[in-house]
Amino acid sequence: MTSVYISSDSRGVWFGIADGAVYRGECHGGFEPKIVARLDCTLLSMIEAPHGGGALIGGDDGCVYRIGADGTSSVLAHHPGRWVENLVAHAEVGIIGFSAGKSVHVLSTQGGHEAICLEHSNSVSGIAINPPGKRLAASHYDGVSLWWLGARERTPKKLNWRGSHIAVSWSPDGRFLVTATQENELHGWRLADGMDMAMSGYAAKPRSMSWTRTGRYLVTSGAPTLTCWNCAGAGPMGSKPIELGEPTAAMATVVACHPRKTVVAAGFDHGQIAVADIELGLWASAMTSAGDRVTAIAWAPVGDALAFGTESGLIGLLAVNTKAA
Amino acid sequence: MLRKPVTVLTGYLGAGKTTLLNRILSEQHGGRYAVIINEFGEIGIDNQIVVGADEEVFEMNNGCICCTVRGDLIRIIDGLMKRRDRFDSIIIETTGLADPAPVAQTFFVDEDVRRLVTLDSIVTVADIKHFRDQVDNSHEAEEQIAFADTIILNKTDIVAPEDVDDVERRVRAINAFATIHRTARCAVPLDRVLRRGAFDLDRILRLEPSFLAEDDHEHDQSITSISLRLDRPVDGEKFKTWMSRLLMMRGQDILRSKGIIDLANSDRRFVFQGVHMLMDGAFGRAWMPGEARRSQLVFIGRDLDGASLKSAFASCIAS
Repeated sequence: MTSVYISSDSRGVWFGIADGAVYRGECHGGFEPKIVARLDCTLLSMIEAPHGGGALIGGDDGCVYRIGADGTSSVLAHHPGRWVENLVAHAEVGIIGFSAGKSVHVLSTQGGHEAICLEHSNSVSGIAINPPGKRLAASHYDGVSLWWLGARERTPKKLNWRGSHIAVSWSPDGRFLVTATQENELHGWRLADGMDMAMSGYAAKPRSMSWTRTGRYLVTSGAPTLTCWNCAGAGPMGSKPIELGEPTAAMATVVACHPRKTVVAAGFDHGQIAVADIELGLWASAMTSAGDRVTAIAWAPVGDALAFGTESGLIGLLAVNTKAA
Repeated sequence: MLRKPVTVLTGYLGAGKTTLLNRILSEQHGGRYAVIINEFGEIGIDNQIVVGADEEVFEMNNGCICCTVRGDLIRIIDGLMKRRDRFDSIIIETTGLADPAPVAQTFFVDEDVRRLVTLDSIVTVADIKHFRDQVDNSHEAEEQIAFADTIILNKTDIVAPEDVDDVERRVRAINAFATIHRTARCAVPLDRVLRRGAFDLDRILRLEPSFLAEDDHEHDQSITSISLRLDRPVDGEKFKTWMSRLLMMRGQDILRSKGIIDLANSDRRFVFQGVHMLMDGAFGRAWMPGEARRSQLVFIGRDLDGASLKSAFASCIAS
């Protein structure tokens, strides 16, 4: 499975399967996932469309699709020969962004802005929009390009760091930008002064990153325990991360922070799902299907349910009670 | 999970890589391929999985000198493997001027890639007409030959037979172990080129031990190959210690190493291959009844000291 989310009205649980199938279940009452669309492409990315418009999906056929809850489908963009691996949206500003090869395209969802195309010298591996929705970061070979979306003059500010960057994440307070790389470490920048932050010591590549609501903690996959960097104050430089959980042979593959509390959910490569409180160290876990890598995980908007999917295509929904935390 | 085999296709500019790729994409051969190419344009791509690459080489920060890999390949293979049901194996075309090492090393060093795919073989297409010039003037042309498991000597139709013989001698002096095909317009049965890994590794067991003495160097080429054999079982620990130390010390000069080893206390063959400092080994099939159990090792590299490698290998015999 490629991607999962629970809609912002807490009603639908959406699952995007690599073979092009899109399932939707009810978050409260019954679950019963049903197929809503079967696209003729490999599904590479999926997010919720802004303003309750169903799902946006990126395919290996260069298309961005919009799929409604009733199964209606339309093509928002088509870039033949390119993969649409990254999708982002900013509901308040009313924009969506996606990458197609070396380009990032930004479209307005309400017609308020003109569509723009941001060109890079290498394939774009990740995109993030800052919290106010004014800047866009694109990760690629040798660093990140930072764009002002409203600017007439379009030249990016470059944050350079040698290597292959594969994902980018903006902290909710807008202060930090962090990339995952093809090595067992993260790289970050403190945007106020451009200071580089090295976050290393992982057993595997930390590909999945998630911030707690205020941006105090950045939690990542890439180790048998959950790695939580304390980003309060000057940032995580020089500090050791909190490691949650008992190290076993299994490796965390995906993480997602609770929408309200300092609680994180994680999936592991042996099929386990865990929920942990970062500050109290409490830990609860459940096994999905043994030996099946968890590939995506997402919280309901109020944090009372967790949707997940595995490499073999198992999809599910867990009710979660975090009151103890 | 079954790992998908990958064939890496190298060759100097104009040697005929595109001709071969077009054949793979257009002919009926029962195999379904995903092809990673450098540029779109000359390739017919109807109903085929063809992906363009970026050639993003980066140096691993793992303390291993010269360990460069291709970040874009890691990303693309990850994307392709989301739909692994659509193809049986992957072919990667490299640019004519590329050093094959970063591509090959990607399959040894990256955990995500190793989990999903395995390097089957490296196929190099060489243009017979221009080969001698290229190899005299370009480091990359020589390395592409050295790295190959299969070499296609192409364009026999436009050169004299003596030239083909001469080029084959030059190629053999660099890489004594690759399977060589002579072709016009890359007309070689595709099943002799693709998905050969296991067969080709088996071939090395049948090679006679050989290493060139100093005065055998025909053209002063810097890269040569040697093969070593032991007819008595090998001590696994001693062998592992020796190989890791050897590749650590000499890995910059040893371009490729491979072997099938008869380990004492094991009924199965230990099969390994390496690229520069990186090595990957696993137990293969069991030795068959009546099969001669022996260990064979090959190295392709610069300034190889055959005599000292031979005695070091012999010291790995189980006591």
